[in-house]
Amino acid sequence: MKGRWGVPLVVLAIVLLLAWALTPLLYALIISLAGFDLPTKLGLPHDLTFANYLDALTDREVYRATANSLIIAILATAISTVSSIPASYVFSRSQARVTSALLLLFLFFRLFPWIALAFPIFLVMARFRLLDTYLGVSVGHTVWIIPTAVWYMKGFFDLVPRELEESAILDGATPFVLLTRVVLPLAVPGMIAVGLLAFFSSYTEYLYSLILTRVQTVTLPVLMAGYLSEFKVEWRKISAISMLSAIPMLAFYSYLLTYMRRGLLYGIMKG
Amino acid sequence: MRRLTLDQALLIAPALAIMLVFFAYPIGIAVYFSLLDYSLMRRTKAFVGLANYLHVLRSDLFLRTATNTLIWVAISTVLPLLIALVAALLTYFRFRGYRAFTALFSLPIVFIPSSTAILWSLMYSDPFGLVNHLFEAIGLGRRIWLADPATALPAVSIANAWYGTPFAYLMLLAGLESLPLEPIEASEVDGASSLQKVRYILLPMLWPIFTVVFLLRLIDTVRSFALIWIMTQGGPGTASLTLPVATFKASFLQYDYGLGSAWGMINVVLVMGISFAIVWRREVE
Repeated sequence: MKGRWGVPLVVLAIVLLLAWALTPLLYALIISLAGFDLPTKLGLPHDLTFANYLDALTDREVYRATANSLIIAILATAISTVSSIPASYVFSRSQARVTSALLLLFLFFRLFPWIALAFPIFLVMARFRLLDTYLGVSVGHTVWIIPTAVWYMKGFFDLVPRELEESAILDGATPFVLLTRVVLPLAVPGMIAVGLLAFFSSYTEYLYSLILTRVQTVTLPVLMAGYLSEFKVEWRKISAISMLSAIPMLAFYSYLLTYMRRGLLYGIMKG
Repeated sequence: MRRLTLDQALLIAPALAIMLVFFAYPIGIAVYFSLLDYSLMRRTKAFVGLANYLHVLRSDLFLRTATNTLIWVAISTVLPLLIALVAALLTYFRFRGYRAFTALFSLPIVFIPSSTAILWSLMYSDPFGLVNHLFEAIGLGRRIWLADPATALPAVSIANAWYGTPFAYLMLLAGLESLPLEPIEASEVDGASSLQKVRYILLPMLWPIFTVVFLLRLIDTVRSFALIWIMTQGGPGTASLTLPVATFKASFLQYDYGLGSAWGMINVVLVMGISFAIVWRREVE
């Protein structure tokens, strides 16, 4: 930017952009640290304390819901990666008409409106007696993870050179042996990415957790949402829980940033 | 090989089986129910053809929901895309500290939707919210943003715009960085200013990627449910009722399986229409 106003304008833009991104977050952070009196006008709270965090961390309900969320996310990650990695390998290698039709079908599954499946999947889960079970909720998450994981993982397999496989095929290797011995070791970064994608999709999910849980398996997002409908909302405590619930994503933050940049474009743009 | 071998079919089978049993089969049920007058409250179950669809599409509630969805979608796609575009262009020129900027600006992605709902409900809350503190400080007075029919929908949409900004920003930035460098370098030789580079080179080259990001964002806002449901439950009254929220209420709160399924299928038609646009663009490029 040249000219007299270039630099101040850029600085102003950066300040405004950061204010947009960070204000709600910093305000909740301040409230989560606030002591007895919450600010009723512009200004900081009088006393700061970690008591709200202690409050959140020692709450049995929060503890239970966090454990549920983690169990369900791990289950959903296991089911979706184990099923979608072999499938995406075939999608990457086979030129059969069925595979390209199925791949397109998976793209439409991926773009399907979430709400339209909510009620019928609830009925199916009820029929299979899977409501309010870890398996039921994680399968409810899995059906949304598989289509994305298949497309993403297919992109990774497309990058693995075929020459290695061709020589293995000459030695008489079956597709299963090819996948486990030859291709998977080369696709480890892709598998890690798909695993994280699956884990975070499940950990952040709200709608399917809401309809498929009752008492035993209530997840953290469902519990947190419930706090807002209480008669007297405990802003300090739920702000603290909001901050704490971000820790898993914060731990993988730099990874998430690169994933968002490459990952989201992968399935759709490069598929 | 134009056909699938048995081994290959076995490798696809697990993923396909899950999708058939827990996706295709329930959707089949929903399509079937949408053709029935099937209500637990009225204790009916009879085939009525497309009557449920006509009933929904002719109702005032649908008109209201469609209008709300349009406003919701407009605010929560246009606002984040414009903000993200400015941020991505600035980052592209690598000002001092641009890495820190990217990390800070993208920070909202670490929050789950429930946290986002809490953060923004706090922002809008009446005695303690920052929005009200700011409005009072500049003499505009306090409001009950989420409980006022006039402000509930825009207020929730802005929260959604906030949540969507980093996604759009990171994708647009990746798009900018994937552009070929030759035209930009050539323009530098010709002495183009930064603004000229943006106007005549970067924006036209970015346009196809911008369209895809826009369509993806569009589809995600048309089908989004969590934020509105947690913050206002579609209220007050029907003030912030969008298509997915209305569908949820018809199925889960009114126990009308027929009408609820018809609402669901209307979502499908709309979202699949946008999906076709995305897939079609992909094939074209």
